[in-house]
Order: sequence, then C-alpha cells, then structure tokens
Amino acid sequence: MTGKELFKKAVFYEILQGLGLTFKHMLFGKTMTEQYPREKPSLPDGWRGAIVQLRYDDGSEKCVGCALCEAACPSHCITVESAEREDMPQKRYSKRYTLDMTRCVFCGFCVQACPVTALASSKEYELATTDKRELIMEMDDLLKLGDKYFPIREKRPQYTEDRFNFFKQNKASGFPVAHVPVVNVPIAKKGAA
Amino acid sequence: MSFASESTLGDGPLKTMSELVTFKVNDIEVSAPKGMLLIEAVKKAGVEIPHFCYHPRLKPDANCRMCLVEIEKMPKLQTACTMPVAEGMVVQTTSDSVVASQNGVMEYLLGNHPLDCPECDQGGECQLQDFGHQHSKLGSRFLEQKRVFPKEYFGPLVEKEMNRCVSCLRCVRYCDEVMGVTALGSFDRGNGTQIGTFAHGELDCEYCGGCIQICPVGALTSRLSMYENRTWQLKKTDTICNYCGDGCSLILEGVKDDITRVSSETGAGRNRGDLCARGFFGYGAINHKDRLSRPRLNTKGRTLEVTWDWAFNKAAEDLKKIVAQHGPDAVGGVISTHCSNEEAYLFQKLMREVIGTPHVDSTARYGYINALSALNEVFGTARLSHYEDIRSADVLLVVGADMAESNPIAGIQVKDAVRAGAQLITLDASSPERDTYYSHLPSLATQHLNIRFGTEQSAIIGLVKALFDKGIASSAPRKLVNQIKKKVAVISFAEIEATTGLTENSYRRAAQTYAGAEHAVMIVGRGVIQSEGGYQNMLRLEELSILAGQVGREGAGILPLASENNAFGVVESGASSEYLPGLKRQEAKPKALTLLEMIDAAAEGKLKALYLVGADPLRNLPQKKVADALSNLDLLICQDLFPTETNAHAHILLPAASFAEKSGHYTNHEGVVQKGHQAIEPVGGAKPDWMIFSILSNKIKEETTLPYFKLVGYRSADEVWKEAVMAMPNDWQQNSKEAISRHVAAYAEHAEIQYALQTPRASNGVMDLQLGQNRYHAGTTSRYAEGLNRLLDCECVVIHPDDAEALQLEEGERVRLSSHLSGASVELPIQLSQKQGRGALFVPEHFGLSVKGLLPLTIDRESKVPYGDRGPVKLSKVAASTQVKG
Amino acid sequence: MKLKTLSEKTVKRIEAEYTKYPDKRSVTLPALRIVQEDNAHISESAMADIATLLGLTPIQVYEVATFYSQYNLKPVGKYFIQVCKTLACSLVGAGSIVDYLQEKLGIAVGETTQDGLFTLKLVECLAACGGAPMMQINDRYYEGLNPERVDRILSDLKKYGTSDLATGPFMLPVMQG
Repeated sequence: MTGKELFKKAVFYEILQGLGLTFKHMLFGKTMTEQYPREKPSLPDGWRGAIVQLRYDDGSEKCVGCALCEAACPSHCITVESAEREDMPQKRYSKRYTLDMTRCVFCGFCVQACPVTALASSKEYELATTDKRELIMEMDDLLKLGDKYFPIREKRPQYTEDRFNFFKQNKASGFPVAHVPVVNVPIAKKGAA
Repeated sequence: MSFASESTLGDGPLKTMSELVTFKVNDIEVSAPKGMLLIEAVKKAGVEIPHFCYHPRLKPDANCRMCLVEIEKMPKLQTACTMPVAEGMVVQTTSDSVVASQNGVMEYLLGNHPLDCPECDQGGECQLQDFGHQHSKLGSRFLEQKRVFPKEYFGPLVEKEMNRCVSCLRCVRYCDEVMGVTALGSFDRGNGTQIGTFAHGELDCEYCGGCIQICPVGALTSRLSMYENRTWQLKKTDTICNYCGDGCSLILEGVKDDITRVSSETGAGRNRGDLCARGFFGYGAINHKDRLSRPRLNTKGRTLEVTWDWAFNKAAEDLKKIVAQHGPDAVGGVISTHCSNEEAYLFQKLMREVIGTPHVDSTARYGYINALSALNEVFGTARLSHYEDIRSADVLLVVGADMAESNPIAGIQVKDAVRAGAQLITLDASSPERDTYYSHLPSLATQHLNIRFGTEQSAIIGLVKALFDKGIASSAPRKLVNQIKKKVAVISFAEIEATTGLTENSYRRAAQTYAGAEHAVMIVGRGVIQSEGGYQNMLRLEELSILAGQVGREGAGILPLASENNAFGVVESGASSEYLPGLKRQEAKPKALTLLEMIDAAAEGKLKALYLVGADPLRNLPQKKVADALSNLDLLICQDLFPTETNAHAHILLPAASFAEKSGHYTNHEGVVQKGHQAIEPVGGAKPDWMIFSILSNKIKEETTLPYFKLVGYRSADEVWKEAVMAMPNDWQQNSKEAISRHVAAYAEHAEIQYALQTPRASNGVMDLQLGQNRYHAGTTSRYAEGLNRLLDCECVVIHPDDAEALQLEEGERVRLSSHLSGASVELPIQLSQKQGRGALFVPEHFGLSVKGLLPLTIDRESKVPYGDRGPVKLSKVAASTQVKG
Repeated sequence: MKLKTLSEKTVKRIEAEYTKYPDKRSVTLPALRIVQEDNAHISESAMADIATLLGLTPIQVYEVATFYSQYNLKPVGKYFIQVCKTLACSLVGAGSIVDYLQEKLGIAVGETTQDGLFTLKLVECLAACGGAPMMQINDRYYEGLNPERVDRILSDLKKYGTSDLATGPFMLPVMQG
C-alpha cells in the first residue's frame, strides 16, 4: 500500500468523490424529481395500465361476451357470463363482466385475445384504494374508464340488411314463441321479447 | 356378464369381417379389417383425414370432398369416406395434390362462412375451425359479398344460423337414417342451398337433438344452452340418463354446480350416442329452483326447516318409538325406481335388518314387477335379450308398446333392425298411420296386428293358437305344450275375432313369421305389463316364445320395456316385498306387504309408520283412499327431490340428491348394469339417498349420540355397491342356455296355465282412455325441465282426426271427459294424432292428478299390481261460453 | 289419406306414373310436373299432397321442387319469359336483353306484371347457343334477340297470343299451352 492509497483511505476519498457529484447536481444540475401527485408523468404510448372496455360511436358496448379474454388471462382475473340479447335474437352480449384488478398482472393478453377490440390497455395506473373491493370491476366501471381514456370511438359495423330488418321487425312484433300443438302456449323465456 | 362394453357402433356388416388386410398410409404399415372404410382405418396409424360430411353413425355421402386422399394406381384422388381398404393399398394423405385439394375445399367453405366464431356456440369444438387451422392457407381470394340468409325462427329449442352451414347434410341424413323422422331437408341449390323444414316452417319433430349434436359447425345449436358457456369451460361427467329404462349414457356438461348442457359420445353406451328429447333437453330439472333444499318437519300444523342432524335424530327416535310400541311390523317402506342399485340395497337393509320389518316395496309395483317376476318365474332370469340382439334379429314382435313415445332409444334399435331388413310385427290398438314428422313403429311394420283397444290378452291367445299349426319348437317341454294345447283348443278363432277384431289369417301369418324366424326378439311394453292381467299375460307371452323356440338361445329373447330407469335394478337389489337381493324369493313371516297393502294397512291402522323414498302414491292410486291412509299414519317420512302432493303430508321431509349429484349403478331393462358418475355437488342442502339411509341406520342402531362423522357408515356409494354385489347370489347375472332350459323344464312341471278370453265390450258412445307416456316427458320430474316444458307443458287429450271430425272438434278445442263409473269429469284441450287408434283416447300421465280419477282401479291377484291406466270415458264438447282461452 | 289441393284428375295422372318406376319416391319429379301442368304452378299444399300420395314427408318433395328451376313455386303470368343467362348468351348481350325486358315490363327478375301477362325469369343454358342471345316464352324459343325484336315479340304476344318470330319448340315432350 503506497502512501497515496493510505491517504485516500484516511480521508474517505470515495465518499468525498460521491458527495462531490451529489453537491454538483444539487448546486448546478437540473431538477429531475417528478413531483408526482402534483405533476403527472407523461406515459409512452403502448403503456399497459388498467384494462378498460370500449364502446362504439353509438354508445353501445363493443363486447360480445365471447369469453376469449377469460381463456387468455394467465391470472384468471376475468369472469364473463354471456347471454342472448333480448331485443336481438342470436346476438351475444356479456350479461356480467367482472375483472378483478387485484389479480390483474397487466400483461395485456386479453387485449390481444379480443376479437372485436373491445378491450384496451389504458394509461390508468392510479389504482390505490382504501377498499380492495373497489378493484373488482364490473362492466360499468370498465366502460367508465374506457370513456375516460378513449374518447374517440370506432364506428359500429353495419349489419347486413336482411338481418337488421329481422331484428327491427322483431322489436315491433316480438320474437315468435314456440308453437305447441295444444293451447296454453308456453313462452320461450330466453330471447323472448 | 353384461356390463356396458366398448363401442358397439358399426356392428352389422363389420362384425362379420374379421379378415385383416395390410395397407400403407403415409409409409406407415397398418392392418385393418377388410371392408373397413379408409377414413376409419387410417386412425390406427395415428392419421386423421379431415372430413365434414362423414360421420360413423351415418352412411357415407361423400359430398364435402374434404377427405380426398391419393391412392397409388388410382388415376384421381379418392374420397376416404367411401373407399374400403384393400390389401396392399398405398395411401398418401399429405401429398401435394391432396394438400392442394384440401386447401381448395377449405377456401370454398370459408368463402361464405361468417367470421363470428367468438359469438358462435360451436366455437372451440367446431370441425371447420379445427380443420381450417390445419388445412387452409391464410387469406381468401373471395372478394365478393358473402352469402347471407335471413334469420329464421326454427323452433323453441333449436337455433338455426344458415350462414354458418357447410351443407354437409349430416343433420338431414341423421334425421332420415337414424331417427326415421325426415323433418329436415336441404332445399334450393348451389350457393343458396340451405337446411330447413317444409316451406320454412317451424321445426315440428321429436326433438331428439341429434341434428344439434351432429352438426360439425354452429349452424344448428341448442337454444336452451345458448351462449351460456364456452365449450372449453365445461366440465364433463359421464352418467346414465334418469328418465326411462333405456339406460342411455349421457355426458352432463356444466360449470361449477350448474348443468348447462347435455351431450353424448358417438358410439358410446347402450344408446350408441343417440339421445331423445328427454335426455338431450331434460336436464333443467336438476338445478330447478323448486328443489327441496333443507329437511323439513311438519309439527303442530307448521312446516319448519331444520338441520340434517335434527331431522336424523327425530326420524330415528320416532321410528324407534313406533317399533317399541307396535313392533317392527308397523313400519313400511317404499323406494322409487329412479334410485340407484346401492340405494335400493341399502334401503331394504335398513328396513329388513335395522328396523326388522319385512314390508319393503318399490314403485316397480306399478307394473314392471309383473315382467320381472314373470320372467324370473319361468326362466330364472330376466336378462334375455339385448339391443345387439334386436339389431341382428330377423323378426321383431312388439307387443303393446309405443316405443317411439315411451322408450325412444330402444325404438331406434328396432328402426335400425327394420332398415337392415328385419320383419317387424306390432300388436297394439294404435293405427298404422303416422304423424308426418313423428316416427311410429306400426307404420314401419310388415304386419301390424291392429287389435281393439285393451284386448292384448285375447290377441295373445290368438297368436298361441295359431302357433300350433305352424309346428312347435322341439325345445319346448312336452308337458307344457300339451297343457297349452288343451287350453287353447276350447277357444275358437271366431271368438277371438269377435273380441280382438282380427281374423284367423292375420294371427297365423304373424305366428308363422315369428316362429319361422332365425332370431326373433319379442319386445313387451306397457300395454301388456302395466295393464289388466299383466302378470298372467306376460307368462302367456313367455310361453309363446318357448313354443316358438325363440328364447333361451343366442340372438333371440324377450325384452320387457321399463318406463323408469332403474326398475330392474331396484327390484334386483331386494327392494321388493317378494324378493331378496338377486331376485331370490323371500318367505317372510308375517307376509310382506306390497305398496298397495301397506296403504290399506295404514288406513286400517295396522301400519303406523311409512318411509316413502321418491314414491308418490297419491298420484298413482285413488287419492281419497291414500290421503286417508297417509293422514292415519303416526309417522310419514318422505324423501324427495321436489315437493309433491304426497310429501305435503310428511311429518319429516328429507331433500334427496338427483342422479347428477351422486354416483351409483343403474340397471336398464336389458339387465345391463352401468355406473353413473357424480357431476355436481348436491343442490341446496340435499344428500344422496344412500348417505341418508346409512346415517339413519346408524342413528337407529346407536344408543348414544356419537359425533356426526362416526355415524356415516359407508364412505361412498362404491363401498355400498361392493357389499350389495356380495349380497347377490352367485348366479345373479347368469343367463346361460342350460340354466334357462332347466328353469323352463321346472316351470313346465308346476305351471298352471289359464287362458281366458276377454268379453267384447259394446261401444255405446263411450271411448277408451289410455294414460301413458309422452315422448317429451317421463314421470313427473321432467315437468321441471324447462326445455321439455317448451315442447309440451300441459295435459291434453290425443284423438284420431277422424274421430275428431265425427265429433266436430278442432285441434286445441277443449273437451270434457267424464266417467260414468266415478262421476268425475275433467276438461282438457284436444290434440290430433293419426297414430291414435280410432275410438281410443290418450292422455299423457305426467300432469294433472284428476284424470286418474276417471279410471277404474283393478288389482292383480298374483302380483298385487294396481292397474289404473285404462278405462271407458265419455267425451263431450265444452260449450263455447265456458271455453277458456289459453 | 286426405288431399287438400289436388283434383281427382291430377291424382289419376300421377297414379298412372307409378308403374313406370321401381318405387314410389321416384314418381316425385313426374308428379311435380303433372301438378304444374294442371295448376300452372306448384303450391305448398300441393307439395304436401304429393308427399301424402307418395308416402313421403312434405320436406322430401319440397327439396326436389326447390332444386329444379323448371318448377314454378309461385303463380306465373300467361307468358312465362325465361331468358338464358349462360355463357354464350351472356357474351353476346343477354344481360342487356334482361335489363331491357325489366325496364319495358316494369318488373324485376322473378316478378309478374300487374296485368298477369308476363313473368320474367333467368335460366341456365337452353341449348340454343347458335342463336344467342335467346329466350324461351312458354314452350317457344326466340333467338337472336335485340331490343327491336323483343318489342315485336311482346306486342305480338299481347295482340295475337303468338309471334311469328318464334323459332320453334325444341323441348320434348311438348307441353300444352
């Protein structure tokens, strides 16, 4: 050990060196700290924040209740209960859509799996809450978040004319119910208008 | 032994072809039976040829062109679904030309197919998806507008989406080839080809659900389970259908504790994958909201829901009290024939060993016991023929059975046999015409013995008498032959004709066909078993088959049809007043009471406690008498799925688990024992019946109150089954030729044969009413199934259109049925059916109680079976002012 | 067995066909033809009647009737115009002939004029490619069409019921009318 090294050890040279850098930044450098609650960071595009549900331009939800997001979810946080729309026979929709944000790992697989791009990763990241139950989100919560982050909506694809007419006509006259050879015709409950 | 074996599909031609040929597929050498179709044979090499129109249950059609393969030395590509394998064949399924043709076919099919897989219920189990992934190029060159069909309503339970159709015609062929219904067809041509009903009408058929199951894509789907679950979410459980005696294998599918769909595996089980409306659409009863969920006590005019522990203690205490006061003979028990073999065994053990009463019976007493005891009496076994025998038989004799209604799957076996060239003889009072889209066996029959209503007994005499001219089989014991000969000699054909309305000639022809057959199977239905003189008539039919030599040998036999799924098994497990496990006759002292006698004894005050497991005597016996008897009891324990009229009287009502919620063995009417597995946990707080019996037995036996878990004697139904099998006699499933002929010889020694002609009844404006099963319902449980209710949800009177015309009645009009015997009357709407015999009426038995009150009750002298399904009624039009709008 | 629509005469004619075929189902085609000859078109109840006669289910008759374009399932006009739309005719302007006919008659393909005189329909090749574009009105062929000839044919038919531009019936057997 030379004398120079011994001197450096004695005066804690490395620490002085480090502190020097600190003081240099403190006195002459630009401030880098984000003033988070007061100032929000700008997030890059493709940020994978909270999963949200989207709508079409006419305000109807895009989700068709196919449960492919449920199948794709690695943390099993999505539950879809689908049913037939009462006013549109043979049209599937999700009667109940639950996304458990406490379990979500924000991987975005569900967004990729969705065949109608009804799901999207938003830039929502402020999910802290005092009540964990708030994080189990229903369709309405997800749509609200979607409205917040995706104000520009896609146009609803036009139905083929025949089918659209069938729906319209059914709306007026009611979906045909079962013909049974006896009186007291039972009403088909599902899909009955 | 006749446990359900492996796949029985494709028997018939293939069964005989045992010669093996060796061929090469994709350079793998495989051997397969000669004549096997290539598409099946290559599976042995682990190769799958893509296909849409081919299905093992159907005849090859080769319309989809997806299964083209290259075969060496053949100039063009060949369809694998029509090509039988031959020695030395060299097949390529992945060569360039094959791949090019597969890509081409896929491009054509996908050209018009909508991209709605996420919405489609078939998504995940769709053949077009699967084969599309494997065999099509990405992208399409089809730029034009896709073909679009307008949406059509297709019936209450089937959803049609023609845009998804690939025109494989499987549904049309299934409807025609298997069901024989031909309600579906393909119409228009080319690009516009579509599947549908006549004139785009609503689907009006048997609703077997076959078209839904066989559709490779999502063109036909079930409306009942529409959009409820995706296929990959479903948990599948094999079980045995609970509705009739056919013993069909079902797959219950659902998520968690819900059953949302039923399916079946092609070729599996006794049904070979075919189902009927009840099996396919009848699962709604399992999770019905009206299911009993907690034990109930009726005390001091109030109904209280209590815990199981309390209910068990109360039941045990009360039973013990009654046994102490009045002796064990004051207790009786009746178990339903929907329970499993384990449960029947345990129930009779509880009654006979734990309580010590001989009074055990089952609801097989309503009729099926006739068949079982008559067969057991003569042949020492009731396992005489199987569906395989029916399919390979050359003559089938169906007596008093409307198989298309009561046992549709056994009916399919008959239809298959007829299609394979068997001669069908039917004997009943129905007309040989059929309703357009409903199968009816007499319409397929080569000979239909159209007797007058209720004269089966006399018709059987006619057949036996006619047989004597044909010559009696040498195997028939001489003593029996002589005795019968003497008896029938005193009855003339003229008298038989006066009663049955059938000429000597038709009997002769039928007897000749039956006796002359190589293998004939006799199928006996409710018209004999569950109608007046059932026990004796069953014996007469057995003698007929002995005389004709059509029993006790391979391929020939007798099959009595059961309308309940485990009538055979429950009796065989010992839950019957005359039999111990294994159909061993018991000589109890005091004499064991039958169901009916128990009711009488209760009315007299001799019987103090009654344990009814799923039995509903109020529905099947005269109501006032039963109601009096039940209210006379000190203790009535009922165990049921749903609240019924009977269990409203119960002091203790225990909720039981349905067939989907427990595992157990069931014996169908062939005598095949099959295991049903547990699909879901018991609904509400219900418990499986075997567990209830087990816990109750221990509660009765134990003096001290032990911890609850120690009182559960058996840990599983399998444990009970092991014990039950051990309790059976060694020969319980034996039906060897020698044993049968030994029994027949013994029977001939002591037989006392009675032949009695019925007296012809003058019509004088009275019509005959028959209660029976409708094709959409079985028992009363099916009324809780939403799917079946959409098909038929209320009582109606079925009448022949000619009769209706004569009475100036129209479909749906209300009529009044009244009985001059009891003075009661019922108002019901009418339904027209061609197959109904003229002058006869039919009412499905599943709904109201009141129609039963119109009919007289007679009791069989030997088997104590109450017959109350037939009788004369007066039909009159309801005046328009009182007409109730539906 | 009750029939709703078919007359006794039609039934007799259908029954006469039974002997010509191995089984009754094969009589479907001639039966449909006979009904069309007698009633001008085949209604759904007539199909149901044929099914009853032949021991089939109605859908089996419906399948056949909808498959062949020669069967008229809706009432047709007095003059049934069938324009060939197959390749040879299309190349030489069958399309414009159809457009012209549509405009002139004021009906779309598949419709009948208000006065019940003309029905317009497109059919596949009628085997008169030599005279393309061509059309068939009832059993008569009209070849080498252009708008002027079409005008003349239509006015002739309206006036006299026949037109001398007809190039003769080629279909066998010759149908009446």
